[in-house]
Amino acid sequence: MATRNIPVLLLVCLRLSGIALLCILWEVLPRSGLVNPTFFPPLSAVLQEIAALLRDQHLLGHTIATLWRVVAGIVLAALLAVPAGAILGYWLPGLAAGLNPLFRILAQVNPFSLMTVFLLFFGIGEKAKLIIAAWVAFWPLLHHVIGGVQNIDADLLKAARSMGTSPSRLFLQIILPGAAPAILLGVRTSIILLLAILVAGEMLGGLAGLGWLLHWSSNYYSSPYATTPIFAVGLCISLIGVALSAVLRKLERDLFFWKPLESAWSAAPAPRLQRSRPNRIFAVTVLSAMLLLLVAGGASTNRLSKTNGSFSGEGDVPPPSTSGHSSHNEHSGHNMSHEHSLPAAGQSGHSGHTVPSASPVQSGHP
Amino acid sequence: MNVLTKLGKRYTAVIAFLVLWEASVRFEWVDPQFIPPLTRVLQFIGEQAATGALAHHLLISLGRAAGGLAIALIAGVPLGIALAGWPYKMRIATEPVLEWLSHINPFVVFHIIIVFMGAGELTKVSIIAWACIWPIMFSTLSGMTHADADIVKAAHSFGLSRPRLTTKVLLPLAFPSILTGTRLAAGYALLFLIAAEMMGSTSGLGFMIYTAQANYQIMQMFSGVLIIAVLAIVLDGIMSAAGKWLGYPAIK
Repeated sequence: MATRNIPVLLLVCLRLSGIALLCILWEVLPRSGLVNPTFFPPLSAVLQEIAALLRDQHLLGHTIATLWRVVAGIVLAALLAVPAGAILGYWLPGLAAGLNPLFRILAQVNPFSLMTVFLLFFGIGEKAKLIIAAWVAFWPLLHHVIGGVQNIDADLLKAARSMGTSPSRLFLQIILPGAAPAILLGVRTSIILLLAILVAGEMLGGLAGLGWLLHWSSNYYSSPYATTPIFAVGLCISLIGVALSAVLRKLERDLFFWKPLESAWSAAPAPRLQRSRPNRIFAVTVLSAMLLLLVAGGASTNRLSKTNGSFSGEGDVPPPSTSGHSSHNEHSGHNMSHEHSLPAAGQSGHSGHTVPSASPVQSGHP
Repeated sequence: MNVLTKLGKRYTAVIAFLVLWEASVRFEWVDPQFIPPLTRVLQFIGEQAATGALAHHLLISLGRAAGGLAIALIAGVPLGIALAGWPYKMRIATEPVLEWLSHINPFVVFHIIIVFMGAGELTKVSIIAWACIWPIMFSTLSGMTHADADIVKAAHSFGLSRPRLTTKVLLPLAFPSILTGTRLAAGYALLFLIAAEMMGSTSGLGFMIYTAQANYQIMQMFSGVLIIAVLAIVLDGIMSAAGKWLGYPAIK
């Protein structure tokens, strides 16, 4: 293609120029009145709103809650998918081929539709959300792990076997490092999907997290620009996504420096420095940050859910409308009696949040 | 018979899973109150289908998914082509913007679009389109930029004009990649369709599951889960069959 040897400084400028132009447009268009600022607030108002949310609405706590769920979900999924994928991919390839159609069907089972089943088995606490998150992340990850294990250089495996390597050493020293690039790629693809689904899940039934905050803020309009909170929370969510994928891409570049960069999702390949050794500092930093988040984030999320559960935004969520549902309610008459014996039904905040009707949104804009 | 055994062999695991589902409920390894047996779910689907309620929801959902996917294809493929044709430096400048846009959650878009257009049919379709456009656009772009350099050079040396080069050489070369992106997007379409219908809708499969969840109608819920999974598999099968059937016209 065109010239690939662009000086680093120019490259950085080029990369920033697009974003800068977008920011300027975002600021200028609403201010000039070309776009209605009531519906599309300028960037500065959105940034101010972010500051206000940080001050008054525990934006940081909600961000940590969402991040904690994402990280805990992906760690849970990886703990299950990596050994399972290695066993299926290396020791039982026949079974892996046989199970493939089943895996494809299970991967297509919609996490939202299974929400209630998970709730019934695990309660409405954090555990159910984590299981749903792990379910979402598990299938793409397993797919990548099996593919990665089966693509390991066969000569390496043969050499290791001929030297009489024990299965555990084979797993730890050949299979795991060999499949690591594929595993990290799987983590990167599934973490983005996981974030999108988690936010939707928090909107449908959560007590903390950015999705909840978005749902809450869409019911509350601040002056002077009505939709500013939605844009503010939306900006935070998208920035988390960008940051997560940037961190994982840097990890890929650092750890697998010998591998040509797959640029399926990026138009322009990043400038590559010639290195002979993997750069581990960044990886260690990320790992320790992750551990810290797992420990501290859980506690903070729990506390935040509790405080939101007690005061909660119940007032601005109208009770589920029954007009459109009446026929279904009649139909389920005999099922209703179960409701009180279910573990999930007794908890406070349940009626308002796991059953947010479509009506708050629709009734506002007929 | 031969075909039947072949199919049976291929889907042994699926059949085993379904049998296990039925057996585990029948022998009460799991509480039948929470998970109904497969046969009763199927029977329930049959009853629902007979009344026509199911077909109504299914058609509405399918229409929305197809509409969103169609919009994404119509917008995404030309966008990808345009991006691939741009000068290299311009692509570097637009790439971070596009990456950022692709990370914007469809449901955030939903809350914003609802302000502009209200909670109509178009809103749901546009969320699905938003979720689908990115895989399609990026796969088009990557297919075009990773096209075999020798073929492109040969076409250049024959003096093909730019539009002809794009339509006759690059696009056919990028076709498999576009198809992969479309398959991925079809999966996303169903996924986000259900969530969108759960949030702001009074019809469709998502709404059906949502009301079932709200009323603890386990049977209806499981029938919805089953139907969506089957739908996704059928859609995926159609896509892959279409890819095989169409082949790569330019290379042959």
